[in-house]
Amino acid sequence: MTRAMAAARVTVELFGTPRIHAGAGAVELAVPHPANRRRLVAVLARQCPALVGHGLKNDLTDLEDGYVFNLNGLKFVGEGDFTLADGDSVLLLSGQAGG
Amino acid sequence: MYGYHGKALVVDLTNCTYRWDAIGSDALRNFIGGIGLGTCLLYRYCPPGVDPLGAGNPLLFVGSPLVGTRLTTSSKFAVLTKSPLTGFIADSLSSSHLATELKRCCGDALVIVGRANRPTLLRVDGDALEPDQVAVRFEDAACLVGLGAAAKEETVKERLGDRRYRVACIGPAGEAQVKFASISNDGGRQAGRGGLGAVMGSKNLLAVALRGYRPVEVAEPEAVRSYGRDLSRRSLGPATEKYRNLGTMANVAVFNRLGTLPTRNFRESTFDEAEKVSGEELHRSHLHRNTGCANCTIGCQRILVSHHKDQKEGGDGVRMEYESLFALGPLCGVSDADVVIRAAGLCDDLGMDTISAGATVAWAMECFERGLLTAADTGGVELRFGNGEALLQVLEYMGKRRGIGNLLAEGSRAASAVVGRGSEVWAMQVKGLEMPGYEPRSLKTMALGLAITPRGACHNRSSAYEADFSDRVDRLSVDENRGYITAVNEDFEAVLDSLIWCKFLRKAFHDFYEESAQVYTLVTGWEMTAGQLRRCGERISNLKKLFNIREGWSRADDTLPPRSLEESLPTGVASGVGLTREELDFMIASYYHARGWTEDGLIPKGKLEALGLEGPSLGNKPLPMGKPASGRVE
Repeated sequence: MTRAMAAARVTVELFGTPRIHAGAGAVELAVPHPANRRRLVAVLARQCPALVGHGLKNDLTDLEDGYVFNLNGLKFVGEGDFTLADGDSVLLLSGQAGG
Repeated sequence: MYGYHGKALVVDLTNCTYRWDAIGSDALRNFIGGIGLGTCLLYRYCPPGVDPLGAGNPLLFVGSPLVGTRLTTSSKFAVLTKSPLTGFIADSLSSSHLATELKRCCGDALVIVGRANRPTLLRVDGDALEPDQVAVRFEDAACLVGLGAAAKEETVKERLGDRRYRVACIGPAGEAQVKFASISNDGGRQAGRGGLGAVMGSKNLLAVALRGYRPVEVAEPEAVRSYGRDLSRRSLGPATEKYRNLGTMANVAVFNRLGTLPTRNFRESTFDEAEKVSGEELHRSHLHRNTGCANCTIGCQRILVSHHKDQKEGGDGVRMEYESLFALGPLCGVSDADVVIRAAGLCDDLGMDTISAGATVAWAMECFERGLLTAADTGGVELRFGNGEALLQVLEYMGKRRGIGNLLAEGSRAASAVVGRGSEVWAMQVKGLEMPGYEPRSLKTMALGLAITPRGACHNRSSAYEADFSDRVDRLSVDENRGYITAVNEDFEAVLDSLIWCKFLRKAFHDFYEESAQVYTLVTGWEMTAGQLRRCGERISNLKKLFNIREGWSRADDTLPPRSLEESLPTGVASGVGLTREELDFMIASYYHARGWTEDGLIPKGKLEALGLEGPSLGNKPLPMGKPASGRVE
């Protein structure tokens, strides 16, 4: 099995509350293919359990209300699914942009 | 009457008189309160073409039907005038205990006209035994001259011998009529944008002290309490976690990553030292305490302390928001957190809008680096990007109109008109109001919002960035839907700012219009539907525009600074992205279309009629001031 088929190597960048709870600005993850939203959340919760209840839902199915993903700093994904590729960056941040 | 008093206290500083003016139920229903009712009253009391710093320009403090209900985040009030910075409407919000005292002793609004012949403290006392009666005193305030805003507030309370007084005051910048001076209340809350403090200073009015006794009655008290408990619970959910944990400072790191953090006077949209002044870092290294406004469950305010040995600015801490952080940090190329905190404290104490102050200094820094201003102009200050001590020095000059500060106190538009030689290109303002911390080239919906907002470059009145930070649009390109999105957002914000709810509560509603209409009915006893409330938002948005048209607005005023339209972004994920004049004009046309306005942005007669904005009810002529109709003058 090739590495690309085994997992997508991605970086999750944490901002705001998730960063404080995780104690890190970013984490490197290997997300099994197909590296979709649900799998990303599950892997992220395993690696950073402090995010559960602070960005990730307690049942590990998705983000909590009020949080969003952004892909590579360019594309926001509200509730939609996505498939990650090797080298992708996923930003986890608050959906509240006001200030 | 529930939720309202149906009247405004009108005070004339020239003649030391006051009277009560009735506010009809139609005006209350149609414009709600806060910004909406304030716009209606501004249209009524502001003579067309008035000099913003002349005696005839009114200064309005306006409450709302929700004030006094103890519903979470509702202790807010609006301050309006004709802006000395823009010549158009200035409408700002502030919050906390002053809102309640305002409603208890001044009815639905306090309208201040005229000019005192000496520095004055305006004191309004309700009568404990007869709550409808007030005593209005015009007291000598010579002892307040030159004091910082915080010291003024404390001095007034000590002098009056009762800490229950709530005080709104100006700092030295307001006294000097710095065009972007703010009004401070409740220990540092600011009605910040548009130069409200300069207007207060032009009236020789240094402080307003309010204490009232009139109870705030609601139509269905138990139902309001029940709803309030539920809303408070929801306000503590994930939708507000950002504000409860880091406050708005959290934006710095995110905006930097997204290429939307204005840096070095909008030359770039990323700051290579952003992490040093990020919310996360300041939370770790400089947080003193968390606090919030009166009757707020969210508590978004972060009080920071500088570690600098000479920590005179800000006393026991400085309230830090994203906008102050961006404007006094990355926008000026400053990455020293201690300097940024001291600069914010200095602005608060001088009584200056941190956005306009920082943006005007950033403009001057670019002038200095390009040789348009020299050390001879600046009194020897090396006004270069990143020079924190220079920033602090110039802010002090600006707030007291000393040296180069006298020029900068006029704001970036007026200063660039004096300096000339192309410096207008990098005066980052719209209609004279300096730009907030949202890069328009990488936030295209926001670009439209900044261009068309009646008070100038403002992020709050349209909140158009909401779309850009979502999957609803591609934030790096334009399309024909941006006009509709921005108009809908603008109307939503108009209702939010009129009821008044805090913006940070907006995602806690299941259905904003339905819930708000029900609450309005429970409080006032007047039937209100979601559809009618939406219509109120549209009406308020149109009346703001109508005020500006009356004051000389033209299509050319809806635009962005040349830099935003001529230079592409050089760094970050949005590197190479720009915004052409044609793209902006395309979005503006789509906005006018969505509004039902003409191609030139004017409001057709039929539209005015449909919204009830024609006819004598708006009172296009200034009303004559009369002798006091009731109460005492001392």
